[in-house]
Amino acid sequence: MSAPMVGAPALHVYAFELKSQLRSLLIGVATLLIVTILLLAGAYPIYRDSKSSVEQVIDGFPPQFAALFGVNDDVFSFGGFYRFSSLYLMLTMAIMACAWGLAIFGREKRAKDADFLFVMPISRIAIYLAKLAAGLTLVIVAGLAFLASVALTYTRFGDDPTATSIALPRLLLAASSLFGVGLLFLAIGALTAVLLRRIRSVSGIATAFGILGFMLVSLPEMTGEDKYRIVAPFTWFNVSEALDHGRYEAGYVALFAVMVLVCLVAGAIMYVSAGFGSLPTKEDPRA
Amino acid sequence: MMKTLFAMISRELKANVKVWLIWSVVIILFNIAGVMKFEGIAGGDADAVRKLTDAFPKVALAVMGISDLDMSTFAGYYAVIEFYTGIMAAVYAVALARNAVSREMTDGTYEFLFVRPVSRTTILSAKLVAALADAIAFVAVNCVSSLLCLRLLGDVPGLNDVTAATVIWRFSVWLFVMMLVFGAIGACASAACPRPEQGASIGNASVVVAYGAGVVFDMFSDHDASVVARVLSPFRYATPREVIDGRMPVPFAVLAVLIVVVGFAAAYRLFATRDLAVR
Repeated sequence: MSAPMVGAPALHVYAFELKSQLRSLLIGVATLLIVTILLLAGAYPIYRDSKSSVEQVIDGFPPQFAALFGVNDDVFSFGGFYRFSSLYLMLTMAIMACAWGLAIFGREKRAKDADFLFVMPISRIAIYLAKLAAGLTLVIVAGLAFLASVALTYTRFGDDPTATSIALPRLLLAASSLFGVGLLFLAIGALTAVLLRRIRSVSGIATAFGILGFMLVSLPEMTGEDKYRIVAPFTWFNVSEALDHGRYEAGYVALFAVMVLVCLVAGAIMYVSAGFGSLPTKEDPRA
Repeated sequence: MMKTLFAMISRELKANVKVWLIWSVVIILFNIAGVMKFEGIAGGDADAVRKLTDAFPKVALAVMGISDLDMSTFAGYYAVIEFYTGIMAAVYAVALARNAVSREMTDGTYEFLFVRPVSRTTILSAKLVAALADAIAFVAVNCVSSLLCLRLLGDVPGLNDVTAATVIWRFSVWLFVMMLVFGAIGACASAACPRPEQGASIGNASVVVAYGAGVVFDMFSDHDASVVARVLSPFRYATPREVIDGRMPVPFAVLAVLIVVVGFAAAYRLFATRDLAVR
């Protein structure tokens, strides 16, 4: 078969998936932007203004109490606040991206029409890649919109020394952690969609995964033990490290890359080799 | 009649058991990792920590996830753990309610069930009873594993086993009430929406909104207007400190009861007249 014949159907799959997720993309991006603006432009100024009253109290205490609360000079800075906020932003992105992965790769299972797609003159791996491309596009578009909103909010704090002490590129690097979270949860969603025999609720699974990731952050945070970071994907992207030193930790980035690759490759292998028997069809709704 | 009812309940329980097991394992692991690490924090001077907490503005505490809790005591520490457990329980409750109302819709098997000589009300009752059993079992797993972790904790200075156990019991009750409230919201949304996925989305969104409103309430609980955020967040109908003390403001208790009663009543009504054609 000639190249255009293969390329065109794949493009159709890509465009179809993008179009189907358009509404969900708009809702997702709007939510992300509202959370960003509420936190950074709304709550941060109030938070910053409380600094002096807290410092007064802290001065009367031995330093270890302040340390117990994680209070140091950094906490009341723009960077410190961003670090706290990033958790909520990551949660939003994780739920969104996981839902996209589930919806895109589980579409035929949910509609029970995989046979209609698989009899088309297009290889399964091409379908998988086209769907993956659509998912990546969604994550990238949402991520870029988020970066833009962070940059815009940042310009509002030109008179705040704790904000200006962070160079915009570093802030954007820290904000880029959302691409990582998005990619990871897209991959997890994709693999889950391929693995599950039936997907009853995209939003239910996505919320569960997102909140699980969010909860796991509390393990290393509450216990103060770094070893728990391995099971808490949100902490793989160390925002403080990005803000302070303009980099992410190589080990955790590698862990992230391996996880994404494993999910996507395993998903691809199973998607390509799944027998028709395991794909519910219209004729037998209970299959 | 009773036999069919029991058959439906046991079938439903069997269908739910795998997901229930997953949630239970997650919660046990979370409790072990969380409760067992309490000793590390308990060492500090409780009185000084309390003064520090009181001095902090709400916004700062809320952003750190502490709100008005005394983290040096077991109760305060456990409250933070239970807040996360509460979010999980809410997501699970929405899933249970959604499955009860519209799983067979998604599977396309309601036609087979509705032609049986049982009313839709009986069908929904059987499914909700099974879901309720799962919710109780989930709360029990959390309660028992917390109590066992407490025993494993051994001798921590300033830890009173009896008061700590009371706190665990009170949070278990709170957790169950949360599951009822979000279950009612989930059931009502699932029954009201013609497309099952739409109902599920509304149910799940209510959990996320409630969580966000809870954070906003923690931030601004000094202000009068924060009551709006509190109404939006069932997680804060009783604040952690109120749960520790074993009380709950009457208006919010009434509100919780109203949501549960109206939610499930609406679910029954809508379910009885639901159109099968839309899939």
